Amino acid sequence: MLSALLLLVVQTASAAEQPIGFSHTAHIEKASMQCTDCHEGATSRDSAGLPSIRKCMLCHQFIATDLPEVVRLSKYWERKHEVPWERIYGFAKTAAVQFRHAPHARAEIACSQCHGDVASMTVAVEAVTHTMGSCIQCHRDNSATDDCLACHF
Amino acid sequence: MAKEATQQAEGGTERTPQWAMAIDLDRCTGCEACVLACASENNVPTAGEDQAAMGRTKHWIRIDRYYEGEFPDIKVKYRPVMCQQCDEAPCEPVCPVNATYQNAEGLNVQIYNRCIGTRYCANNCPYTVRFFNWFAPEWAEPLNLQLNPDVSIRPAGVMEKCTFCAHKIKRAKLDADAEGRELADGDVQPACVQSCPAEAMVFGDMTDPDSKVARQLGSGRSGQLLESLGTKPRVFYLEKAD
Ligand code: SF4
Ligand code: SF4
Repeated sequence: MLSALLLLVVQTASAAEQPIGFSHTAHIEKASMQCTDCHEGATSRDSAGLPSIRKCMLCHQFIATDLPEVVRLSKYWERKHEVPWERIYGFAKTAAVQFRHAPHARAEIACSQCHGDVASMTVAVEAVTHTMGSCIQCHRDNSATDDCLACHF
Repeated sequence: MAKEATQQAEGGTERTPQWAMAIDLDRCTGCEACVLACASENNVPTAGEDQAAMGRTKHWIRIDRYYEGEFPDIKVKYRPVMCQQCDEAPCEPVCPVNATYQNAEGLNVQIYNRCIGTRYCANNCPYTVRFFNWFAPEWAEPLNLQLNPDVSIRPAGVMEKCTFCAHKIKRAKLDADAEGRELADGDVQPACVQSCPAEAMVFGDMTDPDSKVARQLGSGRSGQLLESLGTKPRVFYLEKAD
């Protein structure tokens, strides 16, 4: 109960920071989209990436145009601005961590392993805390390298 | 499946390459293209006039000059010197926190966020190729836009040095893996090697008998810097035997 409450607090806290209340679950569960439809680099590049507003508008010029969040989206579009999304995951510069998505995808590590069950989230929250301990534990469990140089260079 | 794939993903091919570099001193013209390439590849900042006067410049690679004969009958020889990636590295055992160590591929690794800045390693390095960050590095705009995202910016208080372009080794491994093939000789090109117009430098796996570097090492012209110290460097210098 307490943890559920905490989660709620965290969720609302992070949710408030995003310029638009983008619902992951609506896109994944209802519209049957894949993570990689928007985070295109997740399986092939270093960073998963955030989609340009042009991608959002491919659909939202026509779909659900009257929903309040979509109206907010089209205001950015009319002003020819990108949506200033807040990053949820990432490493501090001082951590000197070089993370690459592609090799993890090739190793068939599910997105949810590091990002939680985003499919059931509305606005994404930091559901998994990334620490050196959690990275190394996973590397060891999967017989991947635990050389410091694998990530720190 | 995940297990095997992860191993592969991290470049865990069956053979562990042993990285080495051969530098042909009879080819080097001392142009310093390698010095420039290294600085821009690895986000190595310039120290500025005042700091330079105090001997605080950072050059992961430098060109040592040797003069033979009397002017005007003078012969100049150039020797590019970077971290020699020693097998018996004097810098490693003196680090109290294991921030510098030799990894399985023979690289002398420097982990910035492990380093506590005692500077023992630099004092113990006979090649003087280790550099301490007295201050946080700065790049005047717009030079900050040219920084290489594949290489971490080293904060104040830590040691840094040539990494044998470890990030390029990593990239080559990941590229090979994405294409579903083994790493081939020549896939890894450190910035200095890549930029040398005289093709004086060769980099590769010295345990692969067909690699360019292995052939160079077997040419009978190869030697090491301060060989008598027993540091067993992975950088080899080729010279015509006298
Ligand atoms: S780029 Fe090549 S020729 Fe020029 S100084 Fe460096 S090693 Fe010598
Ligand atoms: S191998 Fe890379 S880090 Fe080392 S001297 Fe050459 S360019 Fe610089």
